Amino acid sequence: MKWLGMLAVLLVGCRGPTPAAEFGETLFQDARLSDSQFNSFSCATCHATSATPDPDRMLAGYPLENVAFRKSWWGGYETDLLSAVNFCYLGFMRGVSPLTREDPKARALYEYLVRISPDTEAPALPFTVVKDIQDVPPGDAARGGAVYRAACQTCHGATHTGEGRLTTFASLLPEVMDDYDALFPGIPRRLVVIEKLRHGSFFAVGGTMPLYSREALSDEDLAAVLTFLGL
Amino acid sequence: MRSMRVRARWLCVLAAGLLGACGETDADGPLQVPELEYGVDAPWPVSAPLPPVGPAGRLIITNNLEDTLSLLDLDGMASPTWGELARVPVGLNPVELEGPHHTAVSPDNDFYYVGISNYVPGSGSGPHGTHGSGKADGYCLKLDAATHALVGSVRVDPNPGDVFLSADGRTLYQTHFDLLKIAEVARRGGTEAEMNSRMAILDARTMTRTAMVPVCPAPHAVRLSLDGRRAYVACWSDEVAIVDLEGADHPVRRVKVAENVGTAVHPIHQPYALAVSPTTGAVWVSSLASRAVQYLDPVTLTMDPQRTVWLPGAPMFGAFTSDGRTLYMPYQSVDSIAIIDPEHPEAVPGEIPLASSGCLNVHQVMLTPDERYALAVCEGDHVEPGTLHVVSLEERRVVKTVQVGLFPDSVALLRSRP
Repeated sequence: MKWLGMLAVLLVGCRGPTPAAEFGETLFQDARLSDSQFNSFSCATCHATSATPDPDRMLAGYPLENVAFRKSWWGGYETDLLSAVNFCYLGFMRGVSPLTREDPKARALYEYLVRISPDTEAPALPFTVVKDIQDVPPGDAARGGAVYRAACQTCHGATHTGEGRLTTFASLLPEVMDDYDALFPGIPRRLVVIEKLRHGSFFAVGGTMPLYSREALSDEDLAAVLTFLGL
Repeated sequence: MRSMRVRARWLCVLAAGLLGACGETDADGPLQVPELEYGVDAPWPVSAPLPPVGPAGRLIITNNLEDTLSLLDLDGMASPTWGELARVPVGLNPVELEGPHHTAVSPDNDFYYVGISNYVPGSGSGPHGTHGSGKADGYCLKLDAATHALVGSVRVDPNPGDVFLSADGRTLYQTHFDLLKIAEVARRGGTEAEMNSRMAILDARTMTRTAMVPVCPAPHAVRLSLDGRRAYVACWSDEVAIVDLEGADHPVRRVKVAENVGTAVHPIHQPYALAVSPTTGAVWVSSLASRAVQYLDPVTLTMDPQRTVWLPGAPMFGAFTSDGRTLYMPYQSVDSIAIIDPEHPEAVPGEIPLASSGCLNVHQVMLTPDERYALAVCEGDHVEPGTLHVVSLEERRVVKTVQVGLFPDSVALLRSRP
C-alpha cells in the first residue's frame, strides 16, 4: 500500500501541459535555448530578472523586469522585442538561425518575459556605447577585486586558474594578456582590455563577449578592475 | 523481500516515465520541449505601426551618421507644425554605426532598399583599429515599407555609394565609392586597373548577387538609360562608365568627362553624381572639383564640352522636371539650387538660395510629384542635425525648413499603395 501511496503522489504531481511561462523561466536560465553545442550562455548570464540590483553581480545587460512592453531596446536601435532578443541569441549564444515568433521555445520565453513585466508603460532605457577607446585614471584595487568577482568571474572564473569559469572559451585572466604585446605591438595592454570590455565582440573585435555600456560599467569601476588585474 | 525490490524497481521505471510525460527536462541531455499550455495567443507583437502612407506619399531620408531614417508625410506639408512623422532605426547591428547611404523605392511601394556603407568617420576606434573607415564590406538592405522591418540583405563590397532600382523593380544597381582602394593601390605602386571597384547587380526579389561588374575607380552615382539597357556611372577618375546591361559579362566603356582630365589618384573633375533627362536621355554629370555639370550625349556616348554648365560650388544630385525642360541642380559652397535649361546650358542659370534658410552642404534635390516643390536635403556640419528644405518652384524660395537626423544624404518618396 505504501508504494501505491507514493505513486498517487507522483500522479498528483503530474499536472498535464506545462505553462509556457514556467518553461520560459527554465529556458531563461538554460544555455540549451541555443542549439549550438558551443554555447554556454543563457539569458541569465547577462540579465537579472529583478530590477533590484544584486550587489554581488554586475551584468552587461539590463535587468529584464518590465522588458516586454518597452518601446525600444538596445538604446533605441531595436523596435521589435524579438529582434532585440535575436541579436543576443545570434551574437552571444551562437544561435544558428533566429528564433521565430511561433517557435515553442520563443513563445515560452516571451510568456516568461511578459510575466516579469507588470509595468506595461515602462520606458525605453539608455544604452551608451563607448565608441572611442581611451585610457582611464588608475583605480582602486580592492574595489577592482569586487568588480572582477561581480562582472568577470562568472564567465572567466578565478584569476590565474580559471577555476569555475563558465566555458573554456573564456580566456584566463590576466594570462591572456601575455599575447597582447605580440598581437598589438606598441599598444598598452590596458587599452586592449578596455576595448574588450567596452566593445565586447563588436567593432571587429570578435568572439562572443557582450559589451559593457556606460550604464552597465562606470569608468571608475573599469579603472578599478584594471588595477586589480595588475594593469 | 525480493518482491519488494521488484516493486521498487517497477515504481522507479514508472516514476521516470511519468516525469517524462510531465515534461520535466533533463538538465544535461538535449533540451526537451514539453507539451506547453500557452497564455498568449499572439506572441512577440510588433510595435504599433505608423499610419498608412497618404495620397501625397512619405519621404524617406537616410541619416548617415546615426543609423536612422527620417520619415515625413507630404500630406501634412502645409501644416505649420509639419515635421518628422517618425525616426526609425535602420541597419543590421544596433551597436555599431553602419552609415545608411542612399535609398531606392520599389515601383509597387511595398519595399525600399538602403545601402549600408560601414563608412562612418568617428564611429569608433580602439586597438583593433579605426572602425567605419571603409574596410568592412557593405550591404544592401531590403525593408518592408509598411513596418520598416528588415526583410532581406545582401553583402557587397566595401564603401557602397549609390543604389538605384530598375523601372520594373527587379534589379538593383549598387556602386562602391572606394576611395580607400585608390589610395592603397597607389601607395603600393599598383595600376589604375587595380583601383577599379565593382558595381553590384542584385536581384531585388531574392536579394542575391546577379553580377559584380568592375567599372572604374571609385564609382558613385548610377542611373539607367531610358530603355534600361545601359547603366551610366560617375567615376572619380574623371570618367563616366557606360555599362552594357544586356551584353554578356556586361562590357564597360569609359568616357573621359573632358579633354583635360587627371587620374584616379589626382582627378581634376571628380565626377560624383548624375541626372538623366527623362525626355532625351541625356546624361548630366556633376563633378565636384571642377564644379561643372557636364553633358554626355546618349546617342554618340561622347561628351559635349559646349554644353558644360559651370557653377560656383560643387554640383550634387539634381532633378529634372518630367518634361525634361528644367534641371534643378543643387550645389555646395554657396548652398543653392541652380535652375538649368538643358536646351540653353550657356545661359546663366536661375538661382534659389538655400543657405539663408539654414542649409549647409546640400546633397540632393528631388521634386514632389506635382512638381510644385523641390525638396532639398542638406547634410549640415555632421555634428548638428541636418535639414530638409521645401522649396516653392513658383516663388523660387524656401518655404519650409525641417530638422532631420545627423548627416542626411538622400531623400526618396514612398507612394501610397493602390
